[in-house]
Amino acid sequence: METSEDIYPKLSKINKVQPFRTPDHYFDSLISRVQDKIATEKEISFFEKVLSKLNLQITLVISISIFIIITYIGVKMISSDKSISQNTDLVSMIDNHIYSFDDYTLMNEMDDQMSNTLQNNDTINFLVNDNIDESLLSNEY
Amino acid sequence: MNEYSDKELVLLFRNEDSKHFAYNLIVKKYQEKLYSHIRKILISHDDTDDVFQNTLLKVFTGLESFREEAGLYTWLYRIATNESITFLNQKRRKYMLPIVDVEKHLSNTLESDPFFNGDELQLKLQTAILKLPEKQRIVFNMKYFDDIKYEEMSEILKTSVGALKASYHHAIKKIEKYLDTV
Repeated sequence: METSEDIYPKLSKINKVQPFRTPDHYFDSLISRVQDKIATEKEISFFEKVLSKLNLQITLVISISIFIIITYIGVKMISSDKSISQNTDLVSMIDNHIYSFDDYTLMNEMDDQMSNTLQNNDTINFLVNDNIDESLLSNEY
Repeated sequence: MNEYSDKELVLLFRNEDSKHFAYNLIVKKYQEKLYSHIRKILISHDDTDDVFQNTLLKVFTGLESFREEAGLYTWLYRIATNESITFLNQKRRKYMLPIVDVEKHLSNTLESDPFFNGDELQLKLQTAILKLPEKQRIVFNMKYFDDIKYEEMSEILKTSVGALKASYHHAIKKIEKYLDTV
């Protein structure tokens, strides 16, 4: 029958004792330290326990909300800049060509701008809702 | 002083008047074994002290709902093992260390530890043990030093007896090989 010396010859030569020791009187004071910890845990209210657990979730929610708000504001600013620049184009065009400015040129320019902002349906709705007579428009233009 | 059985201690704990008395008795009964078990995993006394106190805290809060399907001893050991493994994982995450480096760090701690009493051969053995994968190290320590039965170990580590036997056998082979080379 195999003995431990056969199975693990080197290991069997080593003294099978715990090489770790504890500081003097460690176990004497252990219970009182643990009881103090238990008493401290009890003093923390249920609300504080829940709050500490929610801290991470609350921080995440706040961070994501701030990110969404900043993104939204940024997008809004970019789109209003676009419309301002469109109007600015029109104004600068008028300024530059004030002496050669006529209705036909204005209409063409406005047409371009309207087609960028209005869909066909919106144009029809605008004409219908404002009771604008189409025949008048075609006679005029 | 009368020796209470584990069952009696748990019953005493569930009585509000004798709760702390029972808890103190449980701690006194198992403190050295639990400390030793944690210490073999964590090596450092300071780390062991932290984890041991957290373990005892969890024991206090968990004893109310202790189901007694496993023995009290097995349950205590399981908490201590889980707390130790959690501590090592937190240490790895905190310092962004790969697994090997944590064990290397523990090995370095051993040499300079004022609470390490072993001779040169025991230092070599502990270094060899630290080279084992974490779970295998725990299995080896529980079998070799604490002589815990495989059936009890299976309850504590939630691993089959066969897997534990294989793990222990491999651990012995690795340690023997290491001791051969140094």
